[in-house]
Amino acid sequence: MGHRRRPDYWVLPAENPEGQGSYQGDTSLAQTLLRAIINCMEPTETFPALYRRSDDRILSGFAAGVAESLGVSATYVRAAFVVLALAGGVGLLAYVIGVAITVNAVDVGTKRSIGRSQKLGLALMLVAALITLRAANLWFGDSVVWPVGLISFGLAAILDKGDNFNRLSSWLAPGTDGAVRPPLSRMVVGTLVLFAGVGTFVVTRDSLAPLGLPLLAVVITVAGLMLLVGPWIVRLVSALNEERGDRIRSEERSEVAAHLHDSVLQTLALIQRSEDPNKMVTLARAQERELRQWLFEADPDTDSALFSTALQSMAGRVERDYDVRVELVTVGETLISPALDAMVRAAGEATANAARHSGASWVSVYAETAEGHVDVYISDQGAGFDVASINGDRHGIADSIVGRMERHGGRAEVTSEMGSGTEVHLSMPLGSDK
Amino acid sequence: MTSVFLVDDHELFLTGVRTELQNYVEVVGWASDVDDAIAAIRDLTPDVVLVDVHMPGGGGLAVVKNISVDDSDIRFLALSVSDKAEDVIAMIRAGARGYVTKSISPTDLVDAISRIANGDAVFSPRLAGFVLDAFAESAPEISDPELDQLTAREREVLRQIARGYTYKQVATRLSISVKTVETHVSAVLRKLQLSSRYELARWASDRRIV
Repeated sequence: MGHRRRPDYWVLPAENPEGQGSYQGDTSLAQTLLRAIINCMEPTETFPALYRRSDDRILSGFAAGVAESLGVSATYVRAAFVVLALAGGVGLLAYVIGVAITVNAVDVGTKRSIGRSQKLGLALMLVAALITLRAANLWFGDSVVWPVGLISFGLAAILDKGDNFNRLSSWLAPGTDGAVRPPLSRMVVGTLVLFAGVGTFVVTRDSLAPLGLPLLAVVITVAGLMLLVGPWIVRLVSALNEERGDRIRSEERSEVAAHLHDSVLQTLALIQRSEDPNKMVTLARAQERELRQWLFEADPDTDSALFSTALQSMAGRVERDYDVRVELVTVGETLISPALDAMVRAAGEATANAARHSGASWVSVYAETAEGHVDVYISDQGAGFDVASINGDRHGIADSIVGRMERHGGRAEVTSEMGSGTEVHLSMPLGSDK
Repeated sequence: MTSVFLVDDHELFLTGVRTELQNYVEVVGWASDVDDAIAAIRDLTPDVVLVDVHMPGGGGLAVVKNISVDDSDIRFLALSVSDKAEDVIAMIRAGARGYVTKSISPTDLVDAISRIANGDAVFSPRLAGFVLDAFAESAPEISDPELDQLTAREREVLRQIARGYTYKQVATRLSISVKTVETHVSAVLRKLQLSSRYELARWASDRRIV
């Protein structure tokens, strides 16, 4: 959003003719009530319109709004609110009322700046106000208000416009982000005021008196340094985190791009070159399976230890090798073990057999883990065969399926009917080996 | 003839399905976005709506939810490339009576449509697997045994469906009638739609895909 001209009259949300732009109307009861009062107060050159800066805020942006209409830096206004808040809560009250009667705006006016003597005047007004409040007994105690005031304004001088951590880091670590160095004099004065505040605070604490002067000096120095460097460290850490986040995101993006290039684009190119429709279907199906796996599976490295993942890659292999669809459904989950690994191999053999011999266009694999055992059913609805005639002497079934299962404490059962398909049932007790 | 309405945002797929179905059912209309679909379905009141899951503007879920609130005579069959458990369970719970993936063969699709039109449920092997998984035995809290648990028979029927057998084959294998299989499946569908089982939602979101 660019700079907008400051309106030359008070505009409250209900009266905002455009209903858009710089005012993000949030009307409240307080606003409605105070509209009359506000309308009486024509903004002048000395006291321009007041609003909340939604683009520069710690809490509501009210302090920044006040700062802009006064022509001083928001950091000082915030410091003033902190000090006034300790003066019997007057600052808090003023802040709450201020928030209630103002509206949000984004950078409405042109930058206004006042001279040094006017700033001094404002500072003296603040001191006068504090003394008045003290006299009126709106006061939380000398030992709190004055040190906090010194600390707040010392910090404000060092940090200035609230967000200017670059300035500080330009002193602490020269050459950072090409920041403008604040004048050294202000840094020195700010630091002195800050330490004076910390010193006053520590010295006036009775409970710390027994510590003795040297130790107090150390406490003052440490506390002062923490206040001085603390915000900077916080910002530095969050900037580093942000940068790392960016780097991770861009790495992820290039990983996605690389993966799509190696897999999907290659397959699409192959499909375009292929003239055999069956081949195209096979390519598309294999790619689909692989893409799904990649998109929806968790980390393949950790997932490879799962039984269902092992079955999935088995199904993918058979689909690729034999040009049939393998419908895999798994219920329950368990970690793979040597016995289950053997079971996956047996299932792979049975699935490949079905793909090779049944003539069916698809093979169903159903795996269920429940009640201490794992069951896998491999069924096709193809030609079928006479189990009795080949059981025992056919290498595939006897050795690769039945033998493999039995060696690991499981069993395999083959049922088939001529003309209506074959079903292989594998069963393995869980924990049959470690 | 069963009147069918198609909702899909992929024009190409829409055209393909229309051609496949035209000899078996009466395709009364189609729409490719949610708002058009809702308006047209209210207007045409078809027997069955084939609805895609992922579409701009709320997807098939919005269509099913919107219509099935006040018109329970219109039946929905979800048809999607996605077989993510969350999608499947969400569609069924919104009121769809079945869920098949887009790789289904034309004859199976026609069969599924006529089943849905008759008020039965259509469970693909995968959906059956999801249900078995979601209603696994080990639920810590069962608030309503009627709705939150499957009977042994329902479980057995679902297992057979998950193994790729048709309702007819399931009936033969379990020595029961096809009608009984349909009754079991419809009962499971009802449980799936009405069960407040906490596991169901958590399970579906935990699980990405099979």
